[in-house]
Amino acid sequence: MTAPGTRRYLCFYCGHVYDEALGAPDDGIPPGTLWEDVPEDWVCPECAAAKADFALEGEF
Amino acid sequence: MGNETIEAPAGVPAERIVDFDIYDFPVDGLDYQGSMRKILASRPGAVLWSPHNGGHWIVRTSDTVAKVLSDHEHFSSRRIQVESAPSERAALVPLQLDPPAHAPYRALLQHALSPKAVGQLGIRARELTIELIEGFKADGYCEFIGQFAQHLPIAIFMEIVGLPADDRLYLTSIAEIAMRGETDAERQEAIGKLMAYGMGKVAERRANPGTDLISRVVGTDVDGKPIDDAALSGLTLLLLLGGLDTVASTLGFYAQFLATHPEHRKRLQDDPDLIVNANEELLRRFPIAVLAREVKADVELDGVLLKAGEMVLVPTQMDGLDERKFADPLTVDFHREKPGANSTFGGGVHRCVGSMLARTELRIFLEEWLKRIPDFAIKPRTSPRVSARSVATITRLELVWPAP
Repeated sequence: MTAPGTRRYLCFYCGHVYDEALGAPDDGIPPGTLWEDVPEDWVCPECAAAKADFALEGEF
Repeated sequence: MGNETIEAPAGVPAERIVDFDIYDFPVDGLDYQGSMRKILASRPGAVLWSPHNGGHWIVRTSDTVAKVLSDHEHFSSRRIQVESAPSERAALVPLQLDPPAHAPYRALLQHALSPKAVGQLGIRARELTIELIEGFKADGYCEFIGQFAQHLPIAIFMEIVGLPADDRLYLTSIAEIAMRGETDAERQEAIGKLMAYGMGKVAERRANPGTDLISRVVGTDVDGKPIDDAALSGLTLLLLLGGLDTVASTLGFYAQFLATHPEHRKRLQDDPDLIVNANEELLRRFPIAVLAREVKADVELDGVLLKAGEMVLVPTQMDGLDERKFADPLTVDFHREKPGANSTFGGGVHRCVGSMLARTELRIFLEEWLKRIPDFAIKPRTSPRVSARSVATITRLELVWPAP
């Protein structure tokens, strides 16, 4: 199992990756932000899918 | 505009009422999306009222489109079309189920269309794309819709659901009538044929299961029971309508744009890395789907009261073409930042489950077509037309290029 802080989450709809190490600075989410700490109303920056539409890379 | 009009609910300001029939409005050339925007943007307010097709609200801004699609507490998918008289058509599953009932059916489709599955399908899609283009490249001519747009995505879809390739022409012709037939009777008859076809395949897979999606659906329990025939019928119908029509229709709009914009073609040829973003930009500019929702519980939106039972038209086009979200929205700009954050594939719990596959097929088309046929145009003295109901399409598009 990948260690927290190094996990990558994949958007089901467009394939965009949220990488915990990189965060999403354009959206105000600093590098190192764990997935569980990403706000629930955050959306995919590429396709606007919901956070719930992401899964740990390799899971789908 | 051809159908009976319904008086607006009491209290709707006159400036919110727009004489707009979604099934019959004037389209300037092939710019279905821009023509719709021109009419809807002519009125103040984010929520308008149309007296056509039973009378319904229209959301016409990015915010209100996103709100209606994401708020399933107030907006139900039970009815997904505006119409003068509610259709008796079988419900599409899971599209016309609200949460939580939709979830187990959607999970079945998600498995077949996951990024991992699409990765494999993309390999096949590329092979087929190259094969099709090489097949007519030397002719200097193709009828793009029949020879490519209705071939590539549909062949891939038919592999997913395990349908024989020989049935493709039959199915595409029936799907065209089901989606855009002239009369309700014609459309219903075509839908009946698609359902009968789908249920025939269900019976086959029950007797002789394979590894395809229909076999998987047939062999899966929902809430501890096998899926009943009504749900199976709605599920296979949704698969057929979605799989046979949507990417094919989008490809037509891509091709007509590129055929008429040589400078855009050149940009992609000079810098193929731009294709990923260009794909999202073309999806933003040319959405094909018009959705609708039924108001479940009274709710105020943009200062007007929408009452339970009323219908709301949700043109996905009005998100990507909202100038408050995307500057100069009618202009196709392959360098635009994050053009993909829009509602072209819907939104909320019913966001198009096949969008990853669609994106992949459309990108492969751009990559492989432009490498092989860099310069092409719409054949002179032909007049391609848009045909539209809930999904817009270009029915015939003749392209020409210098034969090698």
